[in-house]
Amino acid sequence: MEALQKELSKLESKANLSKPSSRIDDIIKLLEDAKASIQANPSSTKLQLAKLQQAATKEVDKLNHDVKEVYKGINSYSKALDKKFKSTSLEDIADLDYDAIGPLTGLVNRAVAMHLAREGKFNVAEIFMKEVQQRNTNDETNQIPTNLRAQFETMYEIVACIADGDLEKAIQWARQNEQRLNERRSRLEWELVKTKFLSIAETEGHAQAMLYGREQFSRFLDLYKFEIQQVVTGPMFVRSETITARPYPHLQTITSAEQREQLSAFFCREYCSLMGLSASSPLYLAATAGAIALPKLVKVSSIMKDKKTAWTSHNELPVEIPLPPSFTFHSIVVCPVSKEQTTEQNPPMMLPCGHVIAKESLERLTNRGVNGSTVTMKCPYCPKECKKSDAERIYL
Amino acid sequence: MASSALQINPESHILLDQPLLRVPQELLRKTFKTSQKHIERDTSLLLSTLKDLTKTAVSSDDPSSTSTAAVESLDTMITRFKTLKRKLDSLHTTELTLHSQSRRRLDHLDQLYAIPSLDTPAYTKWSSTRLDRMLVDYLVRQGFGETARALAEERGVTELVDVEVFVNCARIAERLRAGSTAEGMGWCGENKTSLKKMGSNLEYELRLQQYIELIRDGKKLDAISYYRKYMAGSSTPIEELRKAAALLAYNPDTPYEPYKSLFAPSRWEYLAQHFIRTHHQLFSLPPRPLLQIALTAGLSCLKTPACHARPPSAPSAGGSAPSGSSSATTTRPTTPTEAEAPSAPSPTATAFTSPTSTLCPICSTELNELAKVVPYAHHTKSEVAPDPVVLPNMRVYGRAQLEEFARRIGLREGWVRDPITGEEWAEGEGGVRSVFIA
Repeated sequence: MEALQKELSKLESKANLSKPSSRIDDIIKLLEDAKASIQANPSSTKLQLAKLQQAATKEVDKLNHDVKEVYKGINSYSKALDKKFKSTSLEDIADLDYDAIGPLTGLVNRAVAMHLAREGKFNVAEIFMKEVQQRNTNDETNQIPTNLRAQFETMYEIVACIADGDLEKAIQWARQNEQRLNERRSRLEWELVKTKFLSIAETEGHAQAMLYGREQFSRFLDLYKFEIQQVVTGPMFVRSETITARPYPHLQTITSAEQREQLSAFFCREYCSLMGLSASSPLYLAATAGAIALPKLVKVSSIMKDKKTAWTSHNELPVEIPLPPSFTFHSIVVCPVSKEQTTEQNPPMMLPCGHVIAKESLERLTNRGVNGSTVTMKCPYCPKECKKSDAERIYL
Repeated sequence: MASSALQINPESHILLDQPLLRVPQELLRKTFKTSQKHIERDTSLLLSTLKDLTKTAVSSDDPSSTSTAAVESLDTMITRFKTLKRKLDSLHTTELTLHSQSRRRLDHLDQLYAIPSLDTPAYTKWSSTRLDRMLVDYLVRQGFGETARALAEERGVTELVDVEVFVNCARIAERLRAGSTAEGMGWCGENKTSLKKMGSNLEYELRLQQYIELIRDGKKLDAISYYRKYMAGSSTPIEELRKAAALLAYNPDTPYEPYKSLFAPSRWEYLAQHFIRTHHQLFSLPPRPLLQIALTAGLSCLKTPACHARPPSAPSAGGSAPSGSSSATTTRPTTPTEAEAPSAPSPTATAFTSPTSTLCPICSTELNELAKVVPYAHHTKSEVAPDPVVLPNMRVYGRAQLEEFARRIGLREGWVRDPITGEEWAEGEGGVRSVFIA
């Protein structure tokens, strides 16, 4: 990077057209001066022209030199670029056989449109939809849930309120969607009410908060009894000498910006979940994961090309791509015997000793005898023996 | 694994970003070539004019007419150089824009070198900007120029994207589809040297089309002289030239190949595609939108067998939990959620305690259909919550996660509750057993 920065600085400071341009000014001046001298004294024309020719030749030489400098600058900048990217040519990327989604433009467009709406870029989304309609295509791009925009607008409205420290709108929304939130076993409403209680306690005093709590808490008694106890007694300790002396350091009020942000994020997550959408943009996650993975995939594909081998398993990537933990969304169980991922058809089975293998591996290991089910097998990991029927399916 | 998974290797990470710097550099070169051409033409004219003037002045014996002629010539030259100056200044302005564009882009890439790991807010921000770039690139390539401009504007990435280059490319391609080679030929002229270096045959293909059109119009003599002038001397392989020459013997409605396809109207579409390919190659632009490439790879990396196993919104409760209990417990929200957790949750915990699968981007409505066509990620190691335990209903959780949940909801000491089904057990007596997942 430094080399590139340096070369670019050279272009900016000297290897550019400003010098040739001022040199042309000089030439114009030269011509004008000569013209003036000739007009003033026509008899000196011969002399003036000879002088001019000499001077102009010199200036043109200089100009050519200046131009050459610019050329050199541009050249060494592009050489630095070549060097920077020499290990990876774009043809390698182009060669990658990862274009399965190429023909599915409609679906990609739809994902893009939903991403725009999700990020709150409603204006851009609108322009996009207009352009799509102008093209009059009848593909999936148009199959965006029509109320999506309205829903995201509501979401951003509520988030704005939370940012202002006003939770009432969010609480109202949670109450309206109580049933569906409960199906998700979401604690959203309780968290909002709890935070509001604490905020009242902080700004208007405990007594005022108790009034609010008396009105609200009964509906949460069943589930959050223990937490209600904490919340109600928490404010008593607010004025403790040291923060750590407070018994419930995790009770926070809306006054902290961090808490507001967390609450907004939590709200958005629940809101999106009810819409059947993940909390952060899937397009962002997928594109980022792809960018992380591509260098490795390019390398693998070029190695495979060199060795003229092909990856035979078509429904799986050829290499493992390590992604940050925040990019893991499902538990993954790889059978230590078959090295395959477990699936609904080939689920993970726990042996009595607690070790887990895939169902197909279990069957292979216990089917060696004549009548499969009575044969015992040794656990691949420990000395314990068991029968096929002893293994139980686990759920992750 | 965790540490290596979080590391950024900026050198390879910017693999996709080569065009970011290549496009302004290529434009810079083009700007320079144009200015060089202007300068060369005008200076050589100046020098030869001056030479002639001096010569005539020496040989002439009429000083007054010599001086008038000289002044006249000088005037022409002055005007000419003033025009040159104007052209050069406007090219210089272009150049400055390209410099500042390059500078912005270099700085953007440079930022990555300062980011310590993939799970920092700084990386998220950087990657969001990259996504914006990819989106603009995708949109403009798909022909949604308005949207692309609006998005670039709104996200403040106008200096990081090349909208005009694509709009220009699309315009020329569109003209080719409409049966006009003029714009394409013009472009070839502007980029002659680069095309030659690439070994591109685009110019020949366009010439061939003009030649074909002459034959189609019945102007065979014109076609022959055109062939002599522009095609015969080119470096095109002799077989190609022969094929073109033989075309003279056929009528546009010939049923014989390869001449039939040379006359075919579909050749215009081929030329348009060929032009776009050459154009992208010249600017080191990948033939397909980066978004598409990254998305395909990314979908694969994230895809697990579970993503298409059932409808994304279906609850994942199952196992030996009584089927009636899920409806009975709907009023008992017991799922721990981490956003408001007192201690900052580790990302791993977030990942594994999701009660339903709606958090996964592949399971989400946006990408679910799209991900159907890509392969699964390859995993050689299991990824489950640390210290996994199994409950009597055969559901597996991380031990710490269960304990934390029990503490928060205030369960009796030594008891746990299944966060999904709501069942409760005492920890001992086989209530919570360790499970070993390799």
